[in-house]
Amino acid sequence: MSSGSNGARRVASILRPSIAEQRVCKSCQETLVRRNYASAATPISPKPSSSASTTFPVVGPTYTINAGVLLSRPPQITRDLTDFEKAYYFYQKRLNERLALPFTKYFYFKRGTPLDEDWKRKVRERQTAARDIGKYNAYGQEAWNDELLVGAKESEPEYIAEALISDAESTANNTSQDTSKQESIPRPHPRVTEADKKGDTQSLDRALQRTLYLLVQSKEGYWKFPSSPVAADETIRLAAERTLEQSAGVNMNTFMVGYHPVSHYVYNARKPKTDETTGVTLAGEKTFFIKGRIMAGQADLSANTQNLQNFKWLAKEEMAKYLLPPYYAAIKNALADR
Amino acid sequence: MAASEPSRYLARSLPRAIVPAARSQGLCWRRHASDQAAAKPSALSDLESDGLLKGTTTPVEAAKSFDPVARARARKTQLPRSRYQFRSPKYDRGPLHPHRPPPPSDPSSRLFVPGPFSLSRVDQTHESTIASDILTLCYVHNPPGFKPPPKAPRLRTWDDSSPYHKNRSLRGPRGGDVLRLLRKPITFNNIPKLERITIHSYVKNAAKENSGWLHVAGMALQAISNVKVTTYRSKTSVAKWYISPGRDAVAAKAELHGEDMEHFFGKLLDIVMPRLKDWPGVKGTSGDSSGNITFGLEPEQVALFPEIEVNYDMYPPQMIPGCHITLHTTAKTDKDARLLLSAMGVPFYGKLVD
Amino acid sequence: MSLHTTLRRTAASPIISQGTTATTFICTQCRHATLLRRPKRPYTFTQLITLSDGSTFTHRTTSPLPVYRSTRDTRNSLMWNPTSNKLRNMEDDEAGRLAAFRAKFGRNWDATAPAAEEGVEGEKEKEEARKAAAKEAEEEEDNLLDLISSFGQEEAESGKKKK
Repeated sequence: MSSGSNGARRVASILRPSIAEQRVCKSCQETLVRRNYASAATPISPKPSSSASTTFPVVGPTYTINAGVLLSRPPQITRDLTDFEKAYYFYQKRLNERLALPFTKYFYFKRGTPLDEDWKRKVRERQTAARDIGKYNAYGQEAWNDELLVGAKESEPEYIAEALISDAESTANNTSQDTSKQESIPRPHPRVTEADKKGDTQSLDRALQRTLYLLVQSKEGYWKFPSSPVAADETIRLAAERTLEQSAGVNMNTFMVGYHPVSHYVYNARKPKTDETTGVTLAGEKTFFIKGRIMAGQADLSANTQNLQNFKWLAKEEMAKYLLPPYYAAIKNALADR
Repeated sequence: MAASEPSRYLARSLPRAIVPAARSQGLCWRRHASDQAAAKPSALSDLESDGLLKGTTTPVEAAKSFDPVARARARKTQLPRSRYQFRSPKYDRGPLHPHRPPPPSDPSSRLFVPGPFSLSRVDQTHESTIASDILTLCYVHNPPGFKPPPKAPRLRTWDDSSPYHKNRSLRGPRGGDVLRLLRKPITFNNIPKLERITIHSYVKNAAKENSGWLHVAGMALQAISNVKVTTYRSKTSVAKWYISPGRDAVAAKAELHGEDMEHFFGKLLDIVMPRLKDWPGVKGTSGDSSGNITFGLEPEQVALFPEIEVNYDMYPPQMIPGCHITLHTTAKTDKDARLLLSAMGVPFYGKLVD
Repeated sequence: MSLHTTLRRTAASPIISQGTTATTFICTQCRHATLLRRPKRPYTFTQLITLSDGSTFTHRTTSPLPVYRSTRDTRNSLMWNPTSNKLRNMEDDEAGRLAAFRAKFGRNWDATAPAAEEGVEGEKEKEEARKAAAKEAEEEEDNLLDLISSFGQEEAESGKKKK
């Protein structure tokens, strides 16, 4: 820090309230005081307790405390590989071909069986035991030619799966007794689902590689995470569970992760509102978000009591379109990147 | 830094009325590097455009017409092999020798082990889902200004009641000499994860009968783990088990790291564990109280691995070994390790001892 | 592996007035050459594993089978899906004895009647409940008829089993 006696700094230091009053919430202050008493080893100065008792009647702006739920569906499939990763893994496989011990054929295929014949024929064809590295002989004259050319399909995961499945099919067809029936093994499901193609953002089957979050739309048209005020004698976790039940229905198998909020959002109203029943002036809302995971089921707003009209399952970037910028800025670092 | 500091305080401490209303909502006077980065279209835009991540810009036609094998054959005079293929020296003769072998990460090194062959499924699940959940679950809220109460030192000093206490090394903790691992609060940089897996098999017939049992055990362990096993001799003498120190190799062990470990774990969890008959799960009391969980598999359970199933007949009857599988995690206590493993899907039963 | 390298300064004496301090390496190379053993690793294949719900993944394995299709895994075992009603009602019938018994004697000896599928939301459920009620009424009659027709056979079967 500089040593300059800056005018602005001096003004700031006068105006700035003490840390004990503003930065620490009331319950934390009490905890601090209690813990200090509990540890008898540390000498207790009388100041913190007195300041805690004096700060109590000082009424700052009052906020409505909301409990929100970041209900998420974790990624269902592995992510797509980049071109570099594909090329890297493929090249490592070809290197492995000449560095690993050779395949012990007769430990797996008995001599003279149809399986053995089939294996020999295939290895002669592709010149190697591995099925997913294309035609490459690691011990031949052209073993140095182990890199793929531009546009080659051998390193694609789809090519690898197809190569394995077609190999299994041809083995089954060549070794089976009746030649009339053709064995066919089902191909892996596509990584892009129907819901992705249709753009159905309400489906949980969309964007399988991403973490999806439940967003709900209020009757006024604002998008938000499910949230509602915390009732008296209720922890944030319980309030979050109740909120989820009241907004998205009970037809979901969910799991709340921990008891601590992962993020919070402070909304300052333009004009402080006064609650008629209690007479407390509310400066805005503070929403604390608990993290949740959905295991099964689907959101259903038909029986909601929170004035919601629509819901969507969205990934992190897609949310920016729907949420208000300050809301998104407050929440975005708590969301999973993938 | 010094110039911006007072203005920051000023901004915070000024009454709301002075600050323009439009700014107070979202913006603040501080500027972050991350804010500006977010404004850019993509994080990759800073990198060079023809980098590795973007793929090559070579036209496909040019690539199709390029045939490296034909080019090599068309050369009139072939290069000698030593001109294009570097061979690492067979011996490491020390740092001062003129011919040093390349580092083990170099593909031409004799020690090179080809690296991961796929982006591991288990690792991705850990990264995308489990790690952040564990971080949330293990969070302990300490208010700002909180200082943890001072703890007694882990090693006790000697009371200088005797002159012989001078310069003695410190005493161990009360109730046993074992100094447990220190559990640090779990933060973003020490989230528990799977570190390595050890598959160990004690073959009791290897000492009693012949070494064939150990060979079969080694083959079975290698088949299920993709790793060459190491054998171990007995260290103790037990007359009933026919073992004496250093006489016979009686155990085989495979140690799995990295990709092998993740593939083995995925296979164990998704295919083998559900097929175990009447298997209640891993016992809740298992663990060495420093974050490593062990469980055992019977011989007939080891036979359920798809690698052994595929050529079950090749293993002599009754010679497939049972084994102990230890899941080593970077967690410091069993409780954290169990949290990690149950998040990954390993079932636990019975009383949980932490 | 031991390396004894001593680094001796020839200009250890306080006379450092010479421009460069000459250092002489005195190497007593008693280090034996270390053989760099090539690591031995078994041959591994890429295998495609299809789980019972159709999801697939590849992994490296020593088995030469290209595709492994599992019939029993985490997707259809009760321990990993404790809330699944479908799995909870499923009996263990690995040897096919139960199926054989049912082929012979019908399903009316089951401990639990096949429960109507739960977890269908909203109005659909009500409609289906109505349909199911009608169906159940029919089935009950069938069951009674079945019971009458198979009454004697069951007696004979149980007698056989006792023997």
